[in-house]
Amino acid sequence: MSAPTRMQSRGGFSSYFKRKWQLYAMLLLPAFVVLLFNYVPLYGLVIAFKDFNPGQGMLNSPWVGMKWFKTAWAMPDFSGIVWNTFIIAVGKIVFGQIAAILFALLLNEVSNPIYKRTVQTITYFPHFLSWVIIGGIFTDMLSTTGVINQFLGLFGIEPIFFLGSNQWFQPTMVFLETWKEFGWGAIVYLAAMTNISPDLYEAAAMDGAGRLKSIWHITLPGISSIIVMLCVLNIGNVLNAGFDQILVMYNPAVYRTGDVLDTFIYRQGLLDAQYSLSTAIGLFKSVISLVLTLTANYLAVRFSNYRVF
Amino acid sequence: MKSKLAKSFGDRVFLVVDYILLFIVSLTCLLPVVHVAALSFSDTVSASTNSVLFLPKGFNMAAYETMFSNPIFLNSFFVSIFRTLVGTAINLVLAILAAYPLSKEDEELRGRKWISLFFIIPMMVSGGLIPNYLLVNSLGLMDSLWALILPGCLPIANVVLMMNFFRGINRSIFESAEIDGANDFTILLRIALPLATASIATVTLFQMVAHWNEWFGATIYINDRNKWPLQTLLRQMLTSIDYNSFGAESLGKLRLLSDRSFRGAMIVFATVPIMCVYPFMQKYFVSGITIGSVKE
Amino acid sequence: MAKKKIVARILCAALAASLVLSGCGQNGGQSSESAPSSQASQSSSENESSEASAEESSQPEESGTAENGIVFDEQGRFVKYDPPITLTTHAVVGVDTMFHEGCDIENNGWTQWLKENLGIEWKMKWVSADSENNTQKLDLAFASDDMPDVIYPSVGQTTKFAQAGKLTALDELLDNVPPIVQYYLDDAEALSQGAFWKPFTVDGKKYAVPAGMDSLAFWTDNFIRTDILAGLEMEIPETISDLDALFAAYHEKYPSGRAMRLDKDLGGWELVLTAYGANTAWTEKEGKLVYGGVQPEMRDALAKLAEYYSKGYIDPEFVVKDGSKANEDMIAGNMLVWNGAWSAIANPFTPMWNALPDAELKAIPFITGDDGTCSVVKDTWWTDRPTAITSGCEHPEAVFYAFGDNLDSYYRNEAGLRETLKNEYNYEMKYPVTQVQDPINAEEIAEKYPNVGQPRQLYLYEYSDEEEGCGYMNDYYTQQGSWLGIGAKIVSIGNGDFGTMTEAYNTGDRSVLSTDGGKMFDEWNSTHPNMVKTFAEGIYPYWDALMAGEGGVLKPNGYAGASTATMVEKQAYLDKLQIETFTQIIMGTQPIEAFDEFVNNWNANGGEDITAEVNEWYSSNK
Repeated sequence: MSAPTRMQSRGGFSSYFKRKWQLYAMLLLPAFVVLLFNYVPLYGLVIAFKDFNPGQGMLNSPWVGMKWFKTAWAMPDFSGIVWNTFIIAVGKIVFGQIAAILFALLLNEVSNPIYKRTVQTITYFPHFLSWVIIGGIFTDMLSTTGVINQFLGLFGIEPIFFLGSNQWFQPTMVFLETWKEFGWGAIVYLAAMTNISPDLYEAAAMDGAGRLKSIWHITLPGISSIIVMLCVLNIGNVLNAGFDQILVMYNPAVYRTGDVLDTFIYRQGLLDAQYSLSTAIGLFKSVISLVLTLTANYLAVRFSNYRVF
Repeated sequence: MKSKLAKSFGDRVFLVVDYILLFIVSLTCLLPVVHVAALSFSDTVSASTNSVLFLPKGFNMAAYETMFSNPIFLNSFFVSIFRTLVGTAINLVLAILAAYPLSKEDEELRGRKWISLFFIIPMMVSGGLIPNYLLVNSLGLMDSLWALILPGCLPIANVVLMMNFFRGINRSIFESAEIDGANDFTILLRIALPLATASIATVTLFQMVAHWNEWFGATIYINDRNKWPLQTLLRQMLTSIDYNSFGAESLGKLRLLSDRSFRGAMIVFATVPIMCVYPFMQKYFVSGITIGSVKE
Repeated sequence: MAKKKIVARILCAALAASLVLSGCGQNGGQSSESAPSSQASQSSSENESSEASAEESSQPEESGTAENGIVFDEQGRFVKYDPPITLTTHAVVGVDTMFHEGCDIENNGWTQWLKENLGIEWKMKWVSADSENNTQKLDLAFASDDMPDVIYPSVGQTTKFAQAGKLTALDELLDNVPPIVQYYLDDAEALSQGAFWKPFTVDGKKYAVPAGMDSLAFWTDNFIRTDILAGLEMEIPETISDLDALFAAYHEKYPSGRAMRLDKDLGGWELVLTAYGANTAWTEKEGKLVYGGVQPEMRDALAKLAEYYSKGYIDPEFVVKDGSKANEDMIAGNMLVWNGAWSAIANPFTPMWNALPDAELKAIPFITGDDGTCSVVKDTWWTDRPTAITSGCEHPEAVFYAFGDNLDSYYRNEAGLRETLKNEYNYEMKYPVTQVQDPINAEEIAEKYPNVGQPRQLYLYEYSDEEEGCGYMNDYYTQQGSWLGIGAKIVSIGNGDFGTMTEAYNTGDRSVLSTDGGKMFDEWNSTHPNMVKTFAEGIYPYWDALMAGEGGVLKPNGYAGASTATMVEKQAYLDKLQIETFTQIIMGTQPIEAFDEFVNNWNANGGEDITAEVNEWYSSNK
C-alpha cells in the first residue's frame, strides 16, 4: 500500500483495462443474472405506494403516497410487533453466533478424527428438520409435565409453561433456534480454522502455552475476520425473527410477546391478499436491513480496517 | 496432528470436559431424529396416541410400503437430485466468477465499491412475489425446473463468504504469478481455487442443502406435480389438514393423511439422503489444512 | 435446442424488463402490458399442437343440427362442439391422488371422453395440492391478469374479481341452460331457502354458480363416550347444568382426564357456546345484523369456559395444541366429550376404535341452556366451491353443457329423477340406465396398492359402446379428481344418499341403498364398522331433524358479502384481539371483565364501522 504503487495503479485507464479486463469479464455473467432476476422485479415495490388493484395492473394503480405505512403504524399492535421482532432476532443472532463459535472451538480441540467427525455430523441433524416437526416434539418436551420440567423439578424448580407464558416465550424461541442451528453455524468457522497454519500451534506449544491460551491467541484471531463478516451480514437480520418457527409455536396466549413482523405480513399478505400493505411492511424491513448492513460494514472498515463487501 | 509434546494436567482436564460436553450436546441433537425414525416404524395406533418416544412400538414397515407404492415419491426424489446437482453447479460457477474479482483491492478492480454495492442490495431488498411470478412467466420458465434453479442462481450471501476466503489467501502468491505472466483466469483456476477448497466445500454444502430443502418455489411455479421436488411434496402432505374441506367422499383419504407413522416415513425418506452428503464433504474441509500452510 | 430457446427468452425478457424499468419513472402504463401479452401468444401456440387426435373419432351425427360449431340432436340436446374447443381451468388435487399409468389430471379417461365425445378439451393453468395454495395462485393469476377461463373463487374473491370486471355475468347464460342443469339449480335454490345465489351476486348480477354437494358438508356435532358415561352412572347431558354435573363426576373419577376438547384455535368450544346461543357470526337482532363475538351471550359462554378451565376439565395447555394434537387425548381414551366436524368418524375416531376396541361413542344433540333452548350458526354448504367464468372466456356456455352431460350420466340410474325431468322439464335423459357394475380391476388394485386411501380412483368399469361415457362416470372422475367446470351434486339426491345409508343400517336391507350411498356404505364399513353405526345412530337423525327446522336451532349467517373496506384494514387486528382476549379469559390470566374492555376496543378499532358497513349491505340485500 505504499505511495508509489498507488501512483502506478492509477495510470491511464486504457492500459489498466488492458491488463485487468478479465476481472470485469468474470463479473459479466453474475451481474447479468442479478440484473435480470433481482433488479427487474424491484419495480414491484411501487405498489407499496399505490392502492394496488390488479384489474388496473401495477403501474396504473393510483398513487396513495405513504398511506400503507401510516396504516401499519396506526395499528394498535404494530409497535409491539416490531419490538418483539427485534428482541427475538437479536437474541437469536447473539446467542446463535456465540454458541456456534464456542462449539467450533471445542470441536477443533478434538484430535480423534472419528469422534470429531461423528459429533459434527450429528450436531447438524436438527438443521434439516423443519419447524413443523421440531415444534411437535418440543410442544411435548416443554409441556409442564414434559421431560424438561421434570428435569428442572429435580432442582426444586416449579413447572414452567414455556410456550404459554409471555415471560418465557421469547427466551424459549431463542434457545430452540440456537440449539437447532449451532452445529450448522459452526461449519463456516471450522472451515476458517482449517486455514490456520498448524505451525502456529506447534510454536505456541513449544513456548509452553496451554490449550486455552492457544485458543485465545491463535484460533480466535485466526477466525476473527470470518466472525466480523458474519456479524456484519447478520446485522441485516435484526428484523428476521424466524417465520417458520414462530408460526408453528406461537399461540393466542403469547401474542403480546410472540407476534412478529413476518407472521403479521403472513396474515395480511398471504391470507388476506393485502398486497400493498404487506409490500409496504416488507419494504420497511428491507430498508432498515440495508441501512444497518451498510453501516456495519462501514464501521468494520473504520475500526478494524476489515471490509466485508 | 497437533502438538505431540507432553500435555499438561490442565490440558487433560480441558480435553475430558470437552469430550463429555460434545457428547451431551450431540445426544440432544440426535434424539429428535431418532424419535421421527421410531414413529415411522411404529404402528399407526401407537403413533397417533403419542406413545412412541425413541423406540418403535409395534414395529412394521407399512408406512414405507404405502409410500413406495405411490410412484410420485421416487419420481420426486430424482427431481430433487437433478435440481440439487445442476442448481449447485450453476451456483458455484457464478459465485466463484463473482467472488474472485470482488475479493481484489480497489486498485486492482476499479469501481469495486460500486460493483459490490450492486451485488449487496438485492440481498436485502426484493420486489415480492408478484413481479417475480410475472418475470418467470414471461421468460417462459413456468412449469420448468429452471424456474427453481435460475432465479436464485447467484447465491449472494455465499459470494460474500467466498470473497472473504479469497481475501484470506496471501496476496504475494497472486503477485508472483502475475509477474510470471499469468492472466487472471489462469490465476483463478490454477492458484486461487485450489487454495480455497475449504470455502468451496462450504459453499457447495450450503447450496446443496438449500436446494434440497427449498419447497416454496415449486408450489408457485410448477403445476405438473411430476416435476415437484421431494420437499414440496412432503410439505404438501405435512401441512395441517383442513378438516372442513373434506366431503363424505374423502374420509378414506383423511385416514391416511392423519397417519403419523406415514408422516414419519416421509420425513426420514426426505432427510436421510442429504444428511449423507456431509461425510463426503468433510474430506475437503480437512485437506484445507495442508494447503493452507502454503501461505505462510 | 431447449437451452437455446431459454437463452433467447432470457434476452427478450431482459429487453422487456429494461423497458419497464426505464418506463416506470414517467408513465409505465404501456410497457407493463408487454409481459403478459408475450406470454399469452406463447401459450396459444402450445394449445394448437394436440388437437389432431380428436378429429378421428368424431362420428357425424345423423339428424342433429349445428349452430356456430355446436351440434344439437333432434330433441335439442347438446351433443358436441365441432370443431373441438379448449377451456382452461385450475384444480386442487391432493398429492396422494393416484391416476392410472401414464394419466394425470389433464389426461385421463374422463378428459379423453370429454374431448372425443363433447369436443371440449380442458387445459390446466395450474394444479394445487391444497386449497390454501390454490387460493394464493388464483390471487396471483388475478394480480398478473392471467386467469384461466373457468375458475373456482371464494366468496371474497368473487366480489373482488367481479368488481374489477374480470368475470362474466351469468344471468343471460342461466336463461338457456340444459334442463337438467335447471333442475339442479331449482333443487338447490329450494333447499337453501333462496339464499343460494346471494353470496355470489354483485350489484344485482350473478357471477358464480355455487357447487351443491350435500347439506352435511359443514356439520359439527358433539360426541360422547357412552361407556365412560355408563361407568359414571350418568345420563346423556341435555342442558348446561347436566354438563356441569357430568364434568364434575368425570373429573372426580379421572382427575387427569379431559372432560372436553379445546385446541389453540378454540376448536371444540361450540359445545358450550350453543347453550348460550353464542357465536362469531352475524345474526339478526332487532332488525339489524350484530356481531356475535361482542354480544353478552359470548360473555356468558366465556365465563362458563373459564370456570371449566379453572376446575381442570380442560387441558391446561390447550393453547399450544393444534387440532390434531388436541385429538391425541381422544385417541388415547382420555377424553369424555368431543366437539367438531362429523368427519371425525374417520379421524380421530377410527384410530381411537383401533386403539380401544371397547370404546363406545355416540353423537348427541347440542347442549341447551337451562331453559331448554340453544342455537347454532352454520356456514352455508353452497359457498364451498363456486364456479365462475372469466371475462376472456370465448365459450362460457360450454361450461353448462359439460355440466349437463356430467349430471345426465352421473345420475343415469336415478329413476325418480328421470321421471321428474321428463314430466316437469320435458327432458329425456341422454344416457341409458345401466347395470350398476363392480370395478373389473378391484383385486389388482388391492394387491398393487396396499394401504391406499382411495382405491376408487383407480377402478375401471366396463360399459358397452352404446353406454359410451358411462364407464368414465365413476364418482371419482366426476366429483373428486377432475373438477372440470361445475362439479356438483344434486343436493336433494346427495342428502338422500345419507338417508339411504341410515335406512340400510337400521333395516339391514342393502337394497335401499342409492348408488353413491352404497359405495360410501361399503367403504366406511371396510374402514371401521363403527363409522356407519355412529353416523346412523346419531349424526344423521339429529341433522335431519334440525335441517327440517326443528326448534329453530339453526340460524343462518346473516352476512354473506365480500370483505368491506374497514374489514380489509382492520379485520386482521380485530381477529387477533378477539382470540387473544378470549384465550386469556378462559385461561384465567384475565378476569371476565376483560370482555367488556374487549367490546369497547373492538368497537373503537373498526368494529363499529364494520357493523355499519355490514348493515348497509344487509338493508340493500334483504
